[in-house]
Amino acid sequence: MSEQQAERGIKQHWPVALLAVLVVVIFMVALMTFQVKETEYAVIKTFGKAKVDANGKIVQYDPGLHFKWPFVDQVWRHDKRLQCYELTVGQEEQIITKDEFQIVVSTYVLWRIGDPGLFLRRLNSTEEAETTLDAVVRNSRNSILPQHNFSELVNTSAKDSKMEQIEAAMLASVQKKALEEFGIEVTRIGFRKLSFPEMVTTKVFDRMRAERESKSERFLAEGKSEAQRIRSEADRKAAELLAQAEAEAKRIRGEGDEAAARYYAVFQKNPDLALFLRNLEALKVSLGDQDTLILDTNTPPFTLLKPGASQLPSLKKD
Amino acid sequence: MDDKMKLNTPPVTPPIPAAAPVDAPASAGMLALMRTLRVLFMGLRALIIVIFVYLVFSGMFRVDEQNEAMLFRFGKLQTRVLDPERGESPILTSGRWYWAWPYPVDWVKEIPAQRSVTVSTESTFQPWMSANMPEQQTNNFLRPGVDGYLLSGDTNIIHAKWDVNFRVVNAEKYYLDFYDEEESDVVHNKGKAALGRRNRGTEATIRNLLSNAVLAETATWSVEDLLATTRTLPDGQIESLKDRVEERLVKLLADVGLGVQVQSLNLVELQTPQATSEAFRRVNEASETGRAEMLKARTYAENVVLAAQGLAYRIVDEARSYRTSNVERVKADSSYFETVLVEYQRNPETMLTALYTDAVSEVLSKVKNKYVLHTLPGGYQELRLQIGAVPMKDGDAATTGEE
Repeated sequence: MSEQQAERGIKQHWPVALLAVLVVVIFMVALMTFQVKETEYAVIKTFGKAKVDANGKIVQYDPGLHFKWPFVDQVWRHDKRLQCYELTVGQEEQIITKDEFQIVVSTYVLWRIGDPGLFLRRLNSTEEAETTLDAVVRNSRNSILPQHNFSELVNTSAKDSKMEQIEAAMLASVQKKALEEFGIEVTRIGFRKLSFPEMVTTKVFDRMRAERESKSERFLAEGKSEAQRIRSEADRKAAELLAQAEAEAKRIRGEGDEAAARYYAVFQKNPDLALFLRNLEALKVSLGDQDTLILDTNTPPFTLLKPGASQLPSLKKD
Repeated sequence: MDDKMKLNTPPVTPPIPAAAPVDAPASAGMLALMRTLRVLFMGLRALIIVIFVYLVFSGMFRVDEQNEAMLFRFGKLQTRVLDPERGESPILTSGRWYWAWPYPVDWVKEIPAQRSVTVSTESTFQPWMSANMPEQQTNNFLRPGVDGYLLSGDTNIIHAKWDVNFRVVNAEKYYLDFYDEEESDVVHNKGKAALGRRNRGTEATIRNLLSNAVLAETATWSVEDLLATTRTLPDGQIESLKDRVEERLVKLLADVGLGVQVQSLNLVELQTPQATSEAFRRVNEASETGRAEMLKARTYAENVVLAAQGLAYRIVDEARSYRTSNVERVKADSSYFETVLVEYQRNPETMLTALYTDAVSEVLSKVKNKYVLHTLPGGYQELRLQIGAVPMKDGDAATTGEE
């Protein structure tokens, strides 16, 4: 093939060649580089051994694109963000408090990798880290909780409740060990459940029912007592009002009688006449239409029914 | 060579070439092959152009209004100046087009920054309920690890369900500092999200923080106050359970630094254990009965006092009427007496007789039953009168007495 022919071939088939070169380049780049995300730690292991720097510290790679030897170097990665772990072993564990209350607690942990090199050497994966946390956190919980009374966990007085302090004590107990021995940074330990063993709940229900029964009786008794008091109070008040009214009425009637008595003085001018007039008045008032009156002919005006009544008495004298 | 030799010399056939030269015309098959290959290569060129155009345009993307996005190049977070006043920022917001290289060079992470997300305590504090049993059998016990519940400050048991609505206010912190469950599911499950596996990431974190806040606060309230969801403090202030739990949760979230903001916290359900619900119901009934008794007594009291007041007013008014009428009557009598006295002093007998006669005639006109008897000389008379009505016989009307 002449040079001219070769040159013509290249000019005609340059896209194919370019594509081929591109594919090869991409393939080589994929083999010889690796990416590190912002959210992860990455370590190179050459023939299984982690790459270390001059000081013997494991080399960690910043986020971005980095070089590695294909087939020789392996990339170990682990998420470096905070994770939540609800203990698997000992998720619901029975513990006896200082005042001998049996309780069942469940805990959660927030953790992240604190020392990637140490984590890689000791644990290597999230699952192993969680298994370690099971042991470390349970150990701390089971040693700290029995030092406290139940009333420090559950108490109607907020100032006597020390749940936050107990959680902080558990955290302090776990943090140093987890970081220095396993490269795990524990940021928070907290209770997610607090309960009683099954048999104890039965007793609690019995107590709750007894308390409610007592409360019911108290409400009824208080209601009746208060109702009685209100009624008595009302009766007393009514009696007082009536007594006061009677006293006032008596006083008023007395005033009336006193005022009337001043007018009685005039009757002293002729007491007999006054008495006669009062008797007449009484006669008029006391007899009504249902009364029966029996009179004789000596009573005026029926004297007119006697013989000789047509003559006047003055004429009779004459 | 002369012409005779040329004529006698047999014609020389040209030698057969060993190989045809390049520029020599090809056979039909070869031509067809070359044409086919030419067409294929043209198609390949067109494909390359299409792929190139696709790569260019597929890199364009936009961010939804509800989300904020971050661009990572070879895993490293990229920043850019979108707003000169804010300077460089890694957060990409909605309202414009962006361009990124195709994966694995660039990749975009979207965070639901404006969307409200709800996390619930679910069944953490509720008894186990079977979907196949619509009415759960009442047990006189609760099983730890199976039946959830809360302990109140007076060591009573109560069930509850809470949920919290939150939104992401710091997308960078939310994504870069806290484990993303969805990413992990995609990586570990070959691209498919593992359903129901939500126990390491942000939602699990918030759920546990919420449970912790609820547990800690409930453990300082009595069961009666919990059922009322408010309590009165010694200084007289009213405290709300929801507000106190929210206060704790907000503090926990701030301590952890999750980059979220609580929008609302809801007490979805609060109930006493089924084994004691009857006892609580009786307490309510007793309380209502007590209140009803007091209400009846108050009604009685009001009525009695009002009646007494009315009667008291009447008694006093009657006394006042008596006073007035008595005085006026005596005044009238005295005035009448004085008038009569003047006339009496002039003519006593006539006056007396006239007064007497007037009185008798007035009386006689009122009384219906009158008997006038002649006085017999001996002075003794027997008179029999039936004063009352005769008892009624069948068909007879009552008759008055007869002599």
